[in-house]
Amino acid sequence: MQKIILFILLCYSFKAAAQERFTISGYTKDATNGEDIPFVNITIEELPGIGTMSNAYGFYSLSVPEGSYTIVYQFIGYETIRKELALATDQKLNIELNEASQTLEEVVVTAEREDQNVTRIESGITQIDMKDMKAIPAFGGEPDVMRVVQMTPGVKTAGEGSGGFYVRGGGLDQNLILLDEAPVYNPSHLFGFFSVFNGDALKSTTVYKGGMLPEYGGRTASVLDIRMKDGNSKDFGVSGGLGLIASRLTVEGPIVKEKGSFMLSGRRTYADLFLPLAGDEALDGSNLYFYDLNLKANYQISEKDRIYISGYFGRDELGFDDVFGLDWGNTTGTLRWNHLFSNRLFSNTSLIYSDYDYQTSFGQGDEFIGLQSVVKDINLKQDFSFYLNEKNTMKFGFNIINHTIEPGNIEAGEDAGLNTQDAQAKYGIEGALYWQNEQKINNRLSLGYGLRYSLFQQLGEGQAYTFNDKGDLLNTTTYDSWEPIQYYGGLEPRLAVNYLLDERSSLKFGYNRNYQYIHLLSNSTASTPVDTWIMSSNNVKPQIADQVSLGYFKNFSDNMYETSAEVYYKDMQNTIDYRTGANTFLNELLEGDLVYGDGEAYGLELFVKKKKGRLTGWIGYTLSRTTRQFDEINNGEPFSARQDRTHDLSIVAMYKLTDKTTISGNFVYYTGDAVTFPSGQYNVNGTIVPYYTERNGYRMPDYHRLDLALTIQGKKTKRFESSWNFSLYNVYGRENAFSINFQPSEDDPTQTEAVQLSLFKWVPSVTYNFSF
Amino acid sequence: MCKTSLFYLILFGLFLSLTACEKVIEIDLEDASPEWVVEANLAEGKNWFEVRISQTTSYFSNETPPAKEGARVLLSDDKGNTYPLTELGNGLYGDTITAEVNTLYTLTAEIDENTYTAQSFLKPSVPVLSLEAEFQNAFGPRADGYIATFTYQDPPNEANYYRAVYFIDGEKQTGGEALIILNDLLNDGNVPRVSLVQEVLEEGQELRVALWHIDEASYNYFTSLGDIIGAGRGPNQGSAAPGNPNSNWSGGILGYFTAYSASQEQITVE
Repeated sequence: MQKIILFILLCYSFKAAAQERFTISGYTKDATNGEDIPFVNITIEELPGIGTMSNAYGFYSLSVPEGSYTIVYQFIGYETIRKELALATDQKLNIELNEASQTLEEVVVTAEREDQNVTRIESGITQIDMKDMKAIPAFGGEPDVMRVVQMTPGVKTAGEGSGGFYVRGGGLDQNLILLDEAPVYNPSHLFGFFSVFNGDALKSTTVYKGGMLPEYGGRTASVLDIRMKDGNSKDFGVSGGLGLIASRLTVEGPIVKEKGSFMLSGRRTYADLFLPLAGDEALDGSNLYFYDLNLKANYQISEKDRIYISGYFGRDELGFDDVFGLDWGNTTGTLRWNHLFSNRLFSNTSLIYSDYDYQTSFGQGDEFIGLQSVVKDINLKQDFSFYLNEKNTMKFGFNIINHTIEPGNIEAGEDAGLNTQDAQAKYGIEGALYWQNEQKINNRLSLGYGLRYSLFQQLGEGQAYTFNDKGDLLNTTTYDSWEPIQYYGGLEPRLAVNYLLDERSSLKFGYNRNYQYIHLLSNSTASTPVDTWIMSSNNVKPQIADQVSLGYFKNFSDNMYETSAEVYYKDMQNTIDYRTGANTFLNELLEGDLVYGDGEAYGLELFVKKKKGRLTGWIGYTLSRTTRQFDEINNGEPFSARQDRTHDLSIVAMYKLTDKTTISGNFVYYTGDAVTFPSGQYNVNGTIVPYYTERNGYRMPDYHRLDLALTIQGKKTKRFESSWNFSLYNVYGRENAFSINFQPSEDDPTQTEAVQLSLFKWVPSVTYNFSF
Repeated sequence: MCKTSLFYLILFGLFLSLTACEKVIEIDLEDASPEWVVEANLAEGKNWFEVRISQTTSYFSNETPPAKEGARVLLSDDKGNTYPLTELGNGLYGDTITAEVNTLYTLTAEIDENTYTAQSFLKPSVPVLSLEAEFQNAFGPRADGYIATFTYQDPPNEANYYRAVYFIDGEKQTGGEALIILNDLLNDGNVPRVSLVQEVLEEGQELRVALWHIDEASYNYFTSLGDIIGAGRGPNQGSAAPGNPNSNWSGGILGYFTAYSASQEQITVE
């Protein structure tokens, strides 16, 4: 803390040396509901090349010499604001932006200058327009931000029935998914068909897939930063939706007008209510549903202090009478304190809690078996934004996370045949310290650079094991509570360069190194609630990735079209895989069943987006390659990672037929996953057994699918709005392969066959949305 | 925890069965060069012991791959006894062997001037305590019928591994579903209950369950075999990247050699 104060003092001395400069600072907000708008682009017409961006809480600060200026505020989907002012003293300027009008005529004439993609220093960042999320066809009628994320270039879906995604060749666990800064360990409901993010409760979603600055870290491939709505600080409002699968309801309003607000949002599915209709008596007394609760409140305590509290609670429940039960879910909580030390030094302190747990039970009475598993984080995070002058914006801070993993606690009845026992819990502390500066060198060149030092300390109590090359146990050492077992740490340098070629185009370069200390072991491609998370340990080294990327960004026709081409190369170290036959279920010696290797990924991402007019949408295409290499697998030869899809294409289009009717569609195509198929067979144990010669040497059939949706707005009154949404998933009924199994034929066990399983042909849905 | 994954699969299957569709497809697979497969099970006591040597063939082939003629196969133990096996033709080699508990057996096969060895430790038998069948209503894709459950006493304070083999009306059940491999990781010293949930029995059927007590190497083989053919398969073949089972044979050939002692129970379903 002393260092920070010293630093602040130092900063003040800078200020003294530059007396002729004055600071404009304030918040950027939405004019209708008072929500903070983060990442608003702020420029000064008279000083080309000078500008800033509001931070994640909508705060901005800009210091310039005395003079008369026109300050321009721009944000996607909002009308641009020009503010003229004569600056002779420090000024507070809170800006309220109006949403760009929805009606056709106005949209055509609105000519905003939204060129953030060109001017922003970092490459590899995608900001999801939450309106796109609501407009595109939704599976089961539930708008899902994860599906939009998966349709941007460089991001690949893990497939049907999986909420996971791959970013630039990284693994499923290499994405840090944050909801109001709290990590979400399992973003899936119902085996991955829906995400845990209720679209109604979300304000912004940003994907960082490369070139990320030091403020972000913890995973090697990407950060998905999702923020919840703060709630309307001007008026009370209710909005919701009724769908075939789920219903949603959101209430929001001011706590004290324009000083504080709250938002409460809930969602529940009711598939279980239809189970009795299946006419199967055995299904009586069964559960099958999920629900989500999001809540957030904020209050401006003083001109300089604001408190936020937000939380998420969601669960999936699955049960068959007393026979079987399985439920799982995430809980997150974030307490935040924004404080302005000065009009140039912004501070945010967050205390974050996150846990993911699953519980399963079988039988009852003396035969009862219950199992519980928990992953839990407590995180203290301190971030400062310091607006040194018009050319330099610094961010620095630290965070410290306490990780606890309880792999499995078993409770068993007397006759259950299992022992009541707790698998050894794992403990660790993860920390990071960072500093970064965004610097404008001249009108054309901007730099972002900095360092992040991350560390991990594995702690007792518990046993640490050592293994030989074959994974056999060599040694066991017992540690007491809080006794250090293994330490890792490393510097993560980051660099982003933006060179403006002209007003509408730029070249960007990025380099970043990321460390990851917590890892997911998953041996099936389908998303299952019983995922195994492990921490780095004396056996498991941190995963490390180095990435370089180069991009060309250009906007056309007054920013109506946004285009980009990016290439990247990524080198991965200490990636994790299993030995054949690994037992991942509550295996105390699991680390002996793991092998460690390297990975490599490179690719080209092309993106064209049309942002205005009757027709909007985008085309994203990725050409890529990603491989892994383990000494113990495939005779040490590199092999294609499962997600090595050569081609990946997404087309999203929204067309306004009339003022009230919108038709939208999306088409996806990608090369089939790399998979292992047999190259022979033999007979053992009276059964035909497949014989494998190489890892991931084959391909699944290519995947493609078209979805369509029609949205009709109801009559709009001053107080009430409504719309109907009809959507059809997989319009032309493509039978995409979910899996291909090689097995003896059921009719003739001496014959072998390949059986393809496809999940969905057509999935129609209807949703009614309203707000008042 | 065979039980867990099965229940889980049934549920998952139930959910998917609402919309999922399965079909047999044509796929071009490469033909790997043939590899030797040596399989042998040595039971405790005086029994006929047989070793089968065969080869891999292309996956969709209907033909039986050529059996190995002229191999030399030898069984030995850690007490200095050796038992050369007689070639019986058709890739089979055998003899009557008296196998004793707490003995390490080594099987040596000389094929085309290459020598391969595998070892297995013969553990004493663990008694099956009970075997019963109970009527259960249809559940998901499973029909009405009797489900059998057996229990056994796991010896405490040592790692134990088992394979359960069962016979319906005298016929040994084979295939992935019938491959039941157990450990005592979560029930050391307890009386585990194992349900044959994959087998819906009818009244009057005769069920015999034999519990093989096996060593760790054999367990590693059978569980990794189960990963690719067995009931432990997940919705996508269990393992995201399947590999050949962990054989206890040296020299990279396929198959296994296991020595075991068995205890059994038999009931008539009623």
